[in-house]
Amino acid sequence: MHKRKKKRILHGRIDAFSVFIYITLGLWGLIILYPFYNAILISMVSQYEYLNTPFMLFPKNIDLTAYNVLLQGNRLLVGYRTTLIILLLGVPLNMFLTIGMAYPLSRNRFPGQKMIFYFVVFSMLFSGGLIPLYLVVRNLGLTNNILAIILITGINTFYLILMKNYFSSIPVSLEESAKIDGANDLYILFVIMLPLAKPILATVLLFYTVDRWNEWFYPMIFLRNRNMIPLQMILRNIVFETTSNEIADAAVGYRVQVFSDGIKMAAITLTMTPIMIVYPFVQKYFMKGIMLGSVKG
Amino acid sequence: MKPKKIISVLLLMLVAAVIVSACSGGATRPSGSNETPGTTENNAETPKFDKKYRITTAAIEINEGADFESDKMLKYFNEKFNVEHELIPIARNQRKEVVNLWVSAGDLPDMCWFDMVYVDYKNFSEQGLIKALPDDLEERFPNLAKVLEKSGVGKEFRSRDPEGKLYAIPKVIYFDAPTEKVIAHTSVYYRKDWADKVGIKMDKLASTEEVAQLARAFIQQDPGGNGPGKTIGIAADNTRLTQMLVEPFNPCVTDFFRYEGKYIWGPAAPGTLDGLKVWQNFYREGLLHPDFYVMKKNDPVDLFVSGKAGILMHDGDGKVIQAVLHDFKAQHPDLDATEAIGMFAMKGPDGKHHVMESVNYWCGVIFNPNIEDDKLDRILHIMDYVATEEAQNIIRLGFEGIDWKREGDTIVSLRPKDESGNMILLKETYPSQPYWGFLVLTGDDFSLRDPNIPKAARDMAIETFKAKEKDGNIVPLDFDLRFFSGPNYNKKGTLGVVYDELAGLVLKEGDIETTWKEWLESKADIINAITEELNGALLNK
Repeated sequence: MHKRKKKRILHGRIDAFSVFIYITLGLWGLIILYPFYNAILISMVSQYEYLNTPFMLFPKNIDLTAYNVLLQGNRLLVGYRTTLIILLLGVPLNMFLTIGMAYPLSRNRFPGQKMIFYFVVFSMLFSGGLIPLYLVVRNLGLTNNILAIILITGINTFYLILMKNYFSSIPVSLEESAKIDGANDLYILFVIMLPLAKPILATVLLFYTVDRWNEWFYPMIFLRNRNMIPLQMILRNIVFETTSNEIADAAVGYRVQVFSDGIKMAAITLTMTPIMIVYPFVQKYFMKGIMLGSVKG
Repeated sequence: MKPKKIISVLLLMLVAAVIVSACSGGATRPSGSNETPGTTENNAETPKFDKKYRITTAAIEINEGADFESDKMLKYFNEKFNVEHELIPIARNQRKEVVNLWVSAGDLPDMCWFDMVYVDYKNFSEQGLIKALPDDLEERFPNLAKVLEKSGVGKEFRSRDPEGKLYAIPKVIYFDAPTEKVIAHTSVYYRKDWADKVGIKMDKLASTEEVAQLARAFIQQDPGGNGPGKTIGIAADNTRLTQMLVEPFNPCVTDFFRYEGKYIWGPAAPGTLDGLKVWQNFYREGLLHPDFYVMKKNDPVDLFVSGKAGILMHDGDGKVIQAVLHDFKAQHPDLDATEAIGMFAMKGPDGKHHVMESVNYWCGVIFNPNIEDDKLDRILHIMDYVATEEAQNIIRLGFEGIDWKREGDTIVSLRPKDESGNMILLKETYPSQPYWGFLVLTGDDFSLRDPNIPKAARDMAIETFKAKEKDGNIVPLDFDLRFFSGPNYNKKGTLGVVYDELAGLVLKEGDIETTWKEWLESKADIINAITEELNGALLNK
């Protein structure tokens, strides 16, 4: 049946069912993509055009006022710089710590292993609270220090468990045969295990990257230097300024007429674009992970 | 094996030592004398401003990424008082949580924005988490004395403190209010040019029937040329619709208040039902935006300035009116905004404008409990100066000779304009200007005489204030209630946001009176607990 279908397509004859599937999936894809496209459109038109065009496909006149407002001064540059620093320092640390803990926990080797794992799960359910965390960071002298943001989210326990489970699925026999050949644990981890764990590494790397990119809560509490504010906080503040009419924000004021929805969409576009650029490069690893599972099954 | 065991034990001891040392100390000790906080016992009179201080100050008006290095306004204040300011921005949308966290963790900057919620103020002051101000503050700082007097905070807060101390400086709204009692400036903007086309003339006060007539005419006759059915009568969200349609019947709808000798909950008062009926009729007739209940704060303004809506309920002080006129002009360059837009206030069935007296302050400033007395003194000198006319002119207009000049009795701005003819904002030249602009006074006062705000905008605000006062029923402030704290009263937040709850009633099918009564019944337990507590504590005072 499959060969017959393939033959038909190869000879340029596509049956009605295939056409129906392609059209349905195509429309579904457009429905999913349109909100993204709409966000970009709204960020590039004037308020008048937005209010008078309920369903927009192409802008009549491009108006980049929203981007000008966002890019006023160097607020956004400060935000990008800080977020990149957090990303470049934080993500490698996250991966190092997560791998360093996930691999030993995946191997039944040392006493107290189960207890440690239970402590990890316990921390997923209960936390010490915000004020104790603040006091710990303050007593370590890390308030107003970017290391506070980088260190306090060292390991995400959920990602740790994902990685541990993946390592557990790699046969122990690989390790044993490497040991017979004289390899030590570090050699086994870096030369054998990590290359085999590329799918989960890519997945967790992307998760950590998105988490770091969206970081705003801990910077809001721990960072006071106005040149260390990350991107998300700055965008939140800008969106809040343009959509609030509270007494203090009337003093913020803008010289040009501000279209609040345009500002919001421009902020969304500026935030999501870098992640959307990176994602295609790691997507293939997700697919590999799925394929690996299906072949084994 | 032995060496390994010894190393393990040593490592464990090292880890334990690190943990113990990390958990101990950390809090800064107060420097200077150990006298009672708030007193000003200096052994010798030191010359003013000899010692340079570095002052850390956190406020919501400070922008991230701003370049303060070349800020001449900041430099002016720094040099005048021999200080160096470190400006710390607070995220506006999480400001209460951030400040409360810093206070609770004992990590306040030297001075910090504070929302002046009395319950928090009381808790912080009782626990010594914020600094008590000097007892002779009013004597030594006459302008701050005026701030405390005009805001009412000085007397009310001190009288409620067991030792008569004060722990915060409020940001006063008016030194010279346009009305005898301070009232809200919220007003109704409308398209005067459309009203002329449909033949309706609006007075300075309008009833809900008159507003309905105006909105109906805008929708049916479409004087704006939006197309049939595309003009929105009234653009307003839940908050503004409550102010527009319910408060003319019950100005105390949003909170508990004293009614006929005892405290009741505002939404339960009889006038509320009348207002809800009007609101529902407006909605069912299509006079409101069909999605008013999900509108965000700026959405109604966007609709009005773009010409899609004919009536808007919004803030009505000078600088907000200027912003509305400016944004309108940007969308309609061929129209004269001051001719196209008019303003009025709402009146009740008795022909009076019903409103609660407002407090004359908005938020305040608190201080680190461990701050040196001399440093606090310096800060108070700065704040006292900021409240003077000289400082306010610098903060609101800029520097004479650079940003403005006098021509006889007139002040002429020298600030450059951009290619669109918009004047460069002061904050673009002096990034710290918003911080100074809200440090002690909020700017509402100045906006009524700011020469950079068009006279038409200022006149609009003043005329509406006068109309409200002339035919007004102003419910006096109840400081006892405002500063009350009780276990049940402190849980009044569980009653929900009144504006949104009332909007929910309006949207329900069926008879509004039945819906309203059922809603009140569902909250009867907590309402009764609070009113009993209030009546027990406050009625016999």
